[in-house]
Amino acid sequence: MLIKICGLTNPTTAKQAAINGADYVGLLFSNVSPRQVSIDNAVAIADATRCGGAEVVGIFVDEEFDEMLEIIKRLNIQVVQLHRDKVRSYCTKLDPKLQIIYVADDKPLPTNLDPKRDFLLFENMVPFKTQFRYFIAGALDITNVQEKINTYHPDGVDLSSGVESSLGVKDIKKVTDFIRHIRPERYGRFGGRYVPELLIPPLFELEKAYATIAKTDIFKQELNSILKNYTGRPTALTEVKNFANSIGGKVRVFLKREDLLHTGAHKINNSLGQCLLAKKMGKTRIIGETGAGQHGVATATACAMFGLECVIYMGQVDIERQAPNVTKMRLLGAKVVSVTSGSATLKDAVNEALRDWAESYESSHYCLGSALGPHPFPKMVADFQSVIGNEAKKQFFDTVGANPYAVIACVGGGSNSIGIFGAYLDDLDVALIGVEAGGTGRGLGNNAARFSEGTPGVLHGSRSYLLQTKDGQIVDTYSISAGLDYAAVGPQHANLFEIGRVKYDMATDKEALNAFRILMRTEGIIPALESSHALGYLISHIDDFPDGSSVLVNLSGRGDKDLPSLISSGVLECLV
Amino acid sequence: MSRIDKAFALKAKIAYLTAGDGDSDYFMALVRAGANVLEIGIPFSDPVADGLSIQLAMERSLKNGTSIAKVLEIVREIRAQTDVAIILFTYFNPIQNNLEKFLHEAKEAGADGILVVDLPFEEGAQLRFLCDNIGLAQIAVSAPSSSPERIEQLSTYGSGFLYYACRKGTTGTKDELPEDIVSRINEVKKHSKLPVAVGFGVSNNNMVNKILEVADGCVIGSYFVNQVAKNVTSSELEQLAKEVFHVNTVEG
Repeated sequence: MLIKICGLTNPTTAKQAAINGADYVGLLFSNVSPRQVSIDNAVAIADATRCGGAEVVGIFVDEEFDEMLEIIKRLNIQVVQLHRDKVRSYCTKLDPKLQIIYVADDKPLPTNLDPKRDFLLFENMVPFKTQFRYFIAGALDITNVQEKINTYHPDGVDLSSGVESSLGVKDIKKVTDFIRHIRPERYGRFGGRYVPELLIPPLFELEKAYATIAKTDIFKQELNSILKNYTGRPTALTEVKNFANSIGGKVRVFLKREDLLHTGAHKINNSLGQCLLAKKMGKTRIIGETGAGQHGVATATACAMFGLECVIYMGQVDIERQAPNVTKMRLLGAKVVSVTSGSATLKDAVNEALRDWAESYESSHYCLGSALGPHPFPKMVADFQSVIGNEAKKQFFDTVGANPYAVIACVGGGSNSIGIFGAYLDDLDVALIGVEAGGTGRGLGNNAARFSEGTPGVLHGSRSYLLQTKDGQIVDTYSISAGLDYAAVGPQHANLFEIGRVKYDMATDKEALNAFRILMRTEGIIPALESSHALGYLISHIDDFPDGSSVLVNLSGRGDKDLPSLISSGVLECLV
Repeated sequence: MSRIDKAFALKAKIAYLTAGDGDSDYFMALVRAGANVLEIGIPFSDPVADGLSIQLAMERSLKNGTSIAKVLEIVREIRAQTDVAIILFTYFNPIQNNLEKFLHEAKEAGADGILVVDLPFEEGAQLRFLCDNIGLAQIAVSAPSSSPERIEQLSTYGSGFLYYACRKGTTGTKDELPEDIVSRINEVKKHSKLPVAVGFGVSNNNMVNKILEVADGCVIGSYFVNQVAKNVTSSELEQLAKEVFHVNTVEG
């Protein structure tokens, strides 16, 4: 469903509309409209629109032909929308390369309109049968649009007053809410459901079950009770004063202690949620993929408790570097399948898990471990992890009396980070910082820094930022931390990156190991190598933080699992 | 009549190989053996819909340095030698960045259609629109999980023919067809507005004959890919393909 938003009057809103998923942004020049824009302002709006990834539409109502040509030229317009008879009569005189959105009425269509290129627009009228693609328009808003779509089956919807706070003033929140309402599977230009047809009905089944079963009070109460009495929620918020002093003493540092959770990382929040849902859906078998092994252990644990069969796919490289977790999964009764294809890491484990699910979806649930994959997984995983941010926000406020200056979390697929960021997304004065794996430094293949070195593409069911070649082949990634060593990132992060709400940066292996050592020595806490990246970033960028500010870091997991590989690679000797 | 329609006017014998996996004369060997539709695979690093045979073929092809440009060169080369229909089989990521340009080039190289295996119709409006404009068939895939309503939608969304992937899981050779294959194909045909070709695991002559009794076409992929993996000669592949494609009954 194409989305066109018309009558934008400032560049900021136009850009926001575009990066939140509008396909077309329409500008009005006629003084008959309260949404009229001057030509100079229009140039700025057009630039902002294109920068956000949408197409600019010049909307013409009663302009003279020369005037219209001048505007088209100044703004480099490729799409024109023609309203009244006067401007519609220019249709035959226009450059044939222009795409036309022709406002239809009961008169015959001009013969030069081309159904392979142009659109019709039905404004406040019932669409007639046509070979053209068409938009519908006329007081569409979030309350009536679905019904209109179901009735008229348009190719696109055209919005204006329905997303305004007052006449002529677009409200970006209304715009984004509207787009999300039409495309719940997307975060702006990212997300979606890019899977073989075979998996589409199982995804619909899951989406439906999630929206009905998991949203009931009974389900929430049951899950909350398990999280409290079995996994030990709420987890502590710890102020680490020694650590803060050892890195200069200018900021207060608070850790959200997901490392204290049963199984040693935040992953269990999601595994319990999904496995409980799967059980209620009547599934008897759970498939999971794992990188660091934390999601594998969490899922194996949930399966042991709920009495479900469990199969975990894990890359051979990761099996070697996360041996304790492999043993744990086996002890918990899970079957661990070694994946040797491709780079034999997390990406390849996801491939195998998807292949298994395509065979077994009738009896099996795919318990995806991060805020990744086709809809509804990113949304569902973010929801199950939102408990981290909800708890932390309250704890922090109760302790400090204000929100933190910044929240920092590591970003692999992005579940611990979205879990803690989620609570602060609307608090625009809180800086949110996502830290990717910098590996050995810059250069494709040396890291897993999707936002520094990646480009938009489609992998594992959703559109997001990927590390890929020009020909769209996924490249091998590198990080000392198995949990961050992945070529794609969750689609919501891609959107948060584009709208600028979260700043993404990287920490190298070295920076992470340094933080790992300092936290152990100063606080007696062994952080996971993944979480050490968030601390490593803080140490390296300490000068960016104002004196006396408070920083909240998500300590997403504990580091015991990393010790054998650090010992065998000789790194541990350098740390002690 | 389009090349695809021509193939489906008889029973369509559709043969798959991955481009850049072995000599491109393998494709011509399949044509000489009676294939009237070639499905040419574009290699992708993460082919989640494929089983081991095609995964390995794509790995070999990528190791050989096969680019999109190289695939199109192979299409051109084959088109110069034969008039059978050519369908490009691909994952979305290798083509998504330059979709329109790619489709134009594919058409110009001599392709008749495209099958994007991980692009369900919910995400495919733009592809369908471009294919219609450029004059490429856009092959939709129906699966055992597809409901009758969905089969109808798929056959409206797609063009050329409807590919019925007749089992769950991924591609790969199997010894037997699903037990209810005849009734399943009839069910798909009943709801499809397009001719129906059946594939997934088809790997011997009995299977081909059983499928072609009811379906309009039959797809063989992994079986041929496995031969290529064994480094057979073109004439050996031709002989094997002849045997597997041999139709016992009078063609429809």
